[in-house]
Amino acid sequence: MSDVADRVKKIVIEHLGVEEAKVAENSSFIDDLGADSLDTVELVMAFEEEFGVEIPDDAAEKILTVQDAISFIEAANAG
Amino acid sequence: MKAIKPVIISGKEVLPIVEGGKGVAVSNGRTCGAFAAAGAVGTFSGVNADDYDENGHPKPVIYEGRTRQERHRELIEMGIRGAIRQARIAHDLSNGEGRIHMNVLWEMGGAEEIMEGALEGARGLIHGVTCGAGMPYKVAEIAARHNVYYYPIISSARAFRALWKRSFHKIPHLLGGVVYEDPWLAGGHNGLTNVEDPRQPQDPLPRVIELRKTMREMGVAEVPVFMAGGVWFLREWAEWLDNAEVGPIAFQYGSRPLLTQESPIPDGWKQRLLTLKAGDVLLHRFSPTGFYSSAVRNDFLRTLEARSERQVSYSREPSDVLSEAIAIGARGREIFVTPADAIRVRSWLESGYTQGIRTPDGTMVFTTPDESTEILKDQRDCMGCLSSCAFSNWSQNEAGTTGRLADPRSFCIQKTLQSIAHGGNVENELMFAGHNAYRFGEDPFYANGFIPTVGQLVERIMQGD
Repeated sequence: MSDVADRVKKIVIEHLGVEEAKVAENSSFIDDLGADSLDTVELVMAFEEEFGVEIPDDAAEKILTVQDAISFIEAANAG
Repeated sequence: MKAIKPVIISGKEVLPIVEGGKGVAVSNGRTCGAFAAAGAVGTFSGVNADDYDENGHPKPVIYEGRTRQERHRELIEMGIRGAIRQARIAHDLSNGEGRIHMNVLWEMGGAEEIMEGALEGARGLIHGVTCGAGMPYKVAEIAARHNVYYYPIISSARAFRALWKRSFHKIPHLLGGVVYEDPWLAGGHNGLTNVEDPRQPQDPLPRVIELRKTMREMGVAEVPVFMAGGVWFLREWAEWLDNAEVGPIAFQYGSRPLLTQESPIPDGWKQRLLTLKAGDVLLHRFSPTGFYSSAVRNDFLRTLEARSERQVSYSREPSDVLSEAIAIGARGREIFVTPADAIRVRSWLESGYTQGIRTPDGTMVFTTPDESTEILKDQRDCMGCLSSCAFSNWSQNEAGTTGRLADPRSFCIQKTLQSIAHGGNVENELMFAGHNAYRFGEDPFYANGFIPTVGQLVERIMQGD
C-alpha cells in the first residue's frame, strides 16, 4: 500500500472515528463510513493540509471514496 | 423589556426581524415584499418558486421531458423564471423599504444555476441570498459575481469554521450575516450532524456565543447573527439583547409568517396550524436529502413511520441466521429471514402488505400493492429536484444516478411540497413546521381565528409578543 493511501486512511479513521478495518479503498465516505456533509468538507481540508495540495471545489465534489482521495492526491503530487 | 435595536442587514438599517424562507412556494414575493415594507427583512424561497399565468394563477408545474435529465432542465428553467417573478413582486410591494432576500436549498437540483439565473434576471431587486441545507461554500462566490450579500444557514460554530476556511474568507465583505438555525427546533431541514444527538436538544445561547467567538476569530465580529428556530415572543429572548457575548443579533421567524394574510398557503393549512398541540412536530429522517427534518406528524409521516417498521433484513439464500423461507410477490420468489421476522412478515402479508421492496441497506419493506405502484410511479416521474435523491436515486452527476438502489422508505419531496402548497390535503402531504408551531393555538394574538397581516405581525413581534 502506498504512503499516500496510508496517510489518507489515517486521516479518515481519526476524523470519522471509524474502525481501521472498516476503511477500505472503495469505501464511500457518506454511504459506508457514515460521514455527513460537514465531515466531507472537513476531510477535504484535512487532505489539503496533510499533503500540501489544493483541492478545487469541482474536484472536491468528486472525492466520494477513499480511493478518489488517494487518486487525486497522487495525481497532484505527480504533477 | 430591553430595547430591540435595529441592525444593518444587506447594507441597510432595518428591524432585526427576518422572514425565514420556506419552499416550495410558501415564502413568496408577496410575503417577502410585506416583510420588507414593514421595515424588516423579507425572504422569498427560490426553491421551485411559482410563476403565474395572465390571470395571476400559479402556472401548473407540468414536466414534458421524457428523461430525468430533460425534466431536470425544465425544473431549472421554471425555477429561474419563478424566482425572478417572485423577486419582482417582492420589490414592487416593498416600497423601497426593508431588504429582500432569496433563500435557496443548497442541495436543490440546479442550485447554482438557479441562483445565478435568478440573480442575473432580477438584478438590483435582491439584496441577499440565504443558503443552507448542506454546506453552501459556493454561495459566497455566486453572491460576489452579482454583488449581493450572502447568508449561510448553519447550526454550529464548527460548520461556520469549515465554510469560512474553505471559501468565505476569500469574500469577507459580502458576508451579510450568519443564520444560526437551531437544529432541534427549526422547521424544514435541520442541520444536525453526526456529533449531535437528535434526542438531546442543546441550549442555543452557548452555541451562538461559540459561533460569535469563531466569527471574532475570523475577523467578522460585527456581522449580525440571525437566531432561527424556536423564536416566538421576543420578550423570552431578553438575555440575547444587548449581550456583548452574542453581538449584533436579529431573529428569524419560520412558522409565524405562515399564518398571515399575505401567506399563500391554502386556508386548510392555516386552520390546521391553529389546532396543533405540543409534540405534534416530529424530527425525523425520511427526507430524500438524507438530512434530518421537522414536520407535523400527520398521516403522511405516520405512513412513512409504519412503512419503515415493516422492514426486515433478508437474503436470497438461506443462512444460519436468515433461515426461514417466505415466498413473496406474484412469482412467489423466496427470501430468507430470521424466524422471528418470518412471523412479522407473514402477518404483514395477511394484512395486505404483500409487496416487498428492496432498500439500499439490504433490507426489504412491505407495502400494499397501491402504495408500491405509487412509489414506483413517483420514482419514474423524478425530475431531479435535488442534487442527490435517496428516494429516486437521481444524482446531478454525469451518470444521473447515485449508484444506489432507490429507497422506498423515503418519498418524492417535490410532489408532496407542490401539492400541499397548492391545495392538497394537509394530512396526506409533508407539512413542514417548526417545533413551536403549537404556540399558534396558545398565543392570544390568534384568538378567535385572527390572522394578522405581515405588518401587524412585525409590529406585534417588536412589542415583545
